[in-house]
Amino acid sequence: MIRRTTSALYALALRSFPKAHRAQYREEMIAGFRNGYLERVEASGQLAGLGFGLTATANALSAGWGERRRVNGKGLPGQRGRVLEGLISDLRYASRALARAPMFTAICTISLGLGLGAVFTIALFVNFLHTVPAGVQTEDMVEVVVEPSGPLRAGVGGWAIETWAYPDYLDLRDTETGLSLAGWDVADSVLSASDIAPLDVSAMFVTPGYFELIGVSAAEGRVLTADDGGLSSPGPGVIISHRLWTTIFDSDPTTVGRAVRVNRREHVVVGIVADGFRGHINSRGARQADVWLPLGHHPIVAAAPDIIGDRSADWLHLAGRLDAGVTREQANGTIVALSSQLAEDHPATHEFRRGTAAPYASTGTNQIFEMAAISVLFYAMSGAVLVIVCLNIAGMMLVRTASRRQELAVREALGASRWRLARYLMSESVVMALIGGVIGIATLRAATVTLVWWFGGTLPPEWELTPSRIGACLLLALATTLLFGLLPSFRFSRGGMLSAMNDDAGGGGWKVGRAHRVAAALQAGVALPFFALGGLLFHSAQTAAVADLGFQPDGLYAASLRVQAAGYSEVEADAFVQGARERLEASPGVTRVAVADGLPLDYEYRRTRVRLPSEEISRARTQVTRVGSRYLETLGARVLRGRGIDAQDHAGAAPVAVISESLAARLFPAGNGIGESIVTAIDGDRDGEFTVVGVVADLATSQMQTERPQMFVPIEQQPSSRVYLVARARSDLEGMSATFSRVIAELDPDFTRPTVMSGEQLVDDSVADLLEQSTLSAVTAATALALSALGIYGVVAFMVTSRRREMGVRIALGATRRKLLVSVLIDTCRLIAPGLILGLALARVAVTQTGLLWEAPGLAEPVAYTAAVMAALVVAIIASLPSANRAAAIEPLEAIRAE
Amino acid sequence: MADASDPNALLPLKNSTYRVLLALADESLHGYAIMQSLQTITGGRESILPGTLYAALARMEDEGLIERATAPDDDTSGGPARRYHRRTDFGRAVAEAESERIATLLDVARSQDMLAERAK
Repeated sequence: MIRRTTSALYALALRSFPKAHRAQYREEMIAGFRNGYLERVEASGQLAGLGFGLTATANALSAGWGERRRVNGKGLPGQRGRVLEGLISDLRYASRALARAPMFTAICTISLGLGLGAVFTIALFVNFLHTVPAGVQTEDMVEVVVEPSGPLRAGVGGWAIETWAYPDYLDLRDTETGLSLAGWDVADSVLSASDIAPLDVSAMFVTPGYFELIGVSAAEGRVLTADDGGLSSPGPGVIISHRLWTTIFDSDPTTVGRAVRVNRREHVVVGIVADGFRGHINSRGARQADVWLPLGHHPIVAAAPDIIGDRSADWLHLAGRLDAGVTREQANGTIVALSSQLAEDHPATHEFRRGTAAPYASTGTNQIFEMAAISVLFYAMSGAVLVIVCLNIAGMMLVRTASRRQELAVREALGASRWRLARYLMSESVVMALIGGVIGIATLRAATVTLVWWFGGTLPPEWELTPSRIGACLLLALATTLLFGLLPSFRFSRGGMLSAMNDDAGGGGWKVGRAHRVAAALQAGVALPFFALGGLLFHSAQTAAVADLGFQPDGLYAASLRVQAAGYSEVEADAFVQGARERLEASPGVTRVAVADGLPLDYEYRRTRVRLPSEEISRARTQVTRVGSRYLETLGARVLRGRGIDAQDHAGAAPVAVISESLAARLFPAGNGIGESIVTAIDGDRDGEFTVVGVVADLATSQMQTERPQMFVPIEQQPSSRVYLVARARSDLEGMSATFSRVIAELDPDFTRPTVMSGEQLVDDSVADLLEQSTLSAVTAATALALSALGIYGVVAFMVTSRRREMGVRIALGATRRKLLVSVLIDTCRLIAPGLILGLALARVAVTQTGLLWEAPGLAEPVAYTAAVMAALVVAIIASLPSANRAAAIEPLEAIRAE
Repeated sequence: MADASDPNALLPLKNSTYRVLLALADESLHGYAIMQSLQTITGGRESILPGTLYAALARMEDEGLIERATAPDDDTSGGPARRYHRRTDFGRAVAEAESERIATLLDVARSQDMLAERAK
């Protein structure tokens, strides 16, 4: 990448040579450049190559213009030539001047480069969030969703409901709405073939016309059409993704036409879609599919065929395309009218549902506002970074220009115009911008590669560095120079320079701008929350490693059974799970087995709100886990009062729940809760009443740092498509993996081998996650502090430069050098104090909002704040020390002479 | 173009011109070979960037210091068409005159113990 960029820059620089020269030597010069570059890289690495590339480019520019002048007889013809010559000359002077101040140049260009890199990384990330999957024709596309109202709205937390019952789809499809409609849903499935072992895949099940509606065609073979059937009499055709074709089918050209098994049924691959298409909603809004089949093959249909006519079962997503000449508003009106009719006809299930045709969003309807908010937040962040970098560099340029004002005064006295002086100063900015732009591109590349490494996978095309993105980065760098180059240029090219010639003590009454002071203070403040969060996350990780998690991770093993994907009916699925449970319990070393739809620390959010029957407003948010008999005992959780879920809590029995200690304290602060009723809507369903039969000691929920209120309900009363088999055993992970595999294979050889995880793994993953977050927070804090150090240095250095005369006089009047040094340091503390106060407030908000206080952190919180403030102060003082030392070293005689 | 009969008319030579004349020696070399030759004969102390080199080559050709040469038979690089250059007699004379000029200066430096090590 560096080679491509520098080669492109070099080729551009060659245009400074006369045309005839280029015709003769261009190819040779490029070959010479390439050889020189490769030699440096081989001998000393990429950085040396970059150095050579930049130097050779500057050299080619300079030599080219020299050659042009020689050929044209000492000077370019006309006004344009003279202007160009002047500009080249300015750039040459600027390059030399910057080379004489390497530290200043390095700080400014690296800061600019890092800032630009951050800005572009953020922009690419936002772009990535909104990627439209390959091939999808988005024009006139809509998503038909349900806007809930009344209690239904409260149950789903204000989100749109994206799914419909199948009979609703039929009604919508058969009414003249001005829309073509297609239904789809993604579900876990199992794919196998004669030479492919059972493999878990995500499958999208679609109604006829889905591919035609979204405008996607096949790269090989064909897509599913109306001939492949829908819910009734679905055909055997299956489409596979390009990813599956390359990874599982080894890009075999004879894949189309091959026989495969999906969910224990025979199918034929009829097509392969283009690379990049895995469903018309991107991975931020929906699960990505690897195979596509007619809707009738959906496991949910196989498990419960009655669902076809069930108006209360929402499971089908609807995509639509406006017919020619129909507006979205018109289609929407028809859908609203139809949903009103449905509400009248089926009040029990449709009373609070209003259909709407929402515009297509690549992230899915429910993500629109969240993604918009994230985008605005990220753009604001990138804008803030850019402004801070600009202000910092403007500050540095002010200091540099202030220290050269006598030189400028001499130039002015010798006849240089204001414009000439400004141009002279600005050329330094332009040179710095070019170098900063190249560093920015390198940073962007490094950041994208790091992000891809962090999240795993390969670099998606949205992250590639295209020539237009490189050009945009360089353009932004140039635009930035106008921001930070113009300020000092015009400030110091103003009149009054002659007076500066008399004043060689520095100063001249310039004051540090308010914007610079505020920016320096803010930067110090912004670093604080990250430091505090980093510290507390680290503390959380440390605490969690030894904390009472409320269950016994050692000797605990669990595996997810994807029974629905196996194509079982409900009865078959129950029998399979029961069989697996019994066989596992009878295995050597296994002491206890239970089933549940979740585990502690599984990173799954199964949240709902709970209220008392006598109250309208919910009292608490809680994690809900559906569990089988003896689940809590298998986990090793402590039942404090009452009992756990057991065999008496079967499907026909009264609904019961076991709640955690912290939930009991919130719901029943005065009593023990046993025998009381609570009301909740599980999975957004309608409210149901549960009798509390037990209170269990708090145990970890989805993550270590999330809050502990939790309730457990019998899985037999609240069936779930997700099932974990949980076992406690005196064995190791390897032994238990073999045991689980044997048990499953005995029951069904076509069932995918389960991945077994241990309790210790769950804990380790959670601790590692906390440490990762802590590291990320610390790196962000360090970057913010590094930027803030630059800002503080700029402001304090300028402050000292502008007050040199005053400080000289103070020394002459008896002030000690130590006193002056301390005075500058106190000024620095005053400068950043407002930022620190703001930062502390932000830190407090961040800490409470991220749920880090799940377990009273005791002294850790004040210690984290104090450490963060101290770190910011130390960095500020270090950044101001060079200027403070310079102030203390002022010679009073110089100051008096200046007076 | 300079007076071909008077090598001194071009003195003092530009640094790049002198280095190219020395790097060419009595061989016919293409541009990249001149860059490598200069590094070799100076033990890596001197180098020349392509921009400076090719501007110098065009200028030197105009001044009659170098001339085009045909590619040797063993040039099988297969890369872009490369132009070979060799020093003209005038170029050699100019290089000699420049060397004399520098030698005079070096004598002065030596007399002031600035070249004590190298004098040996």
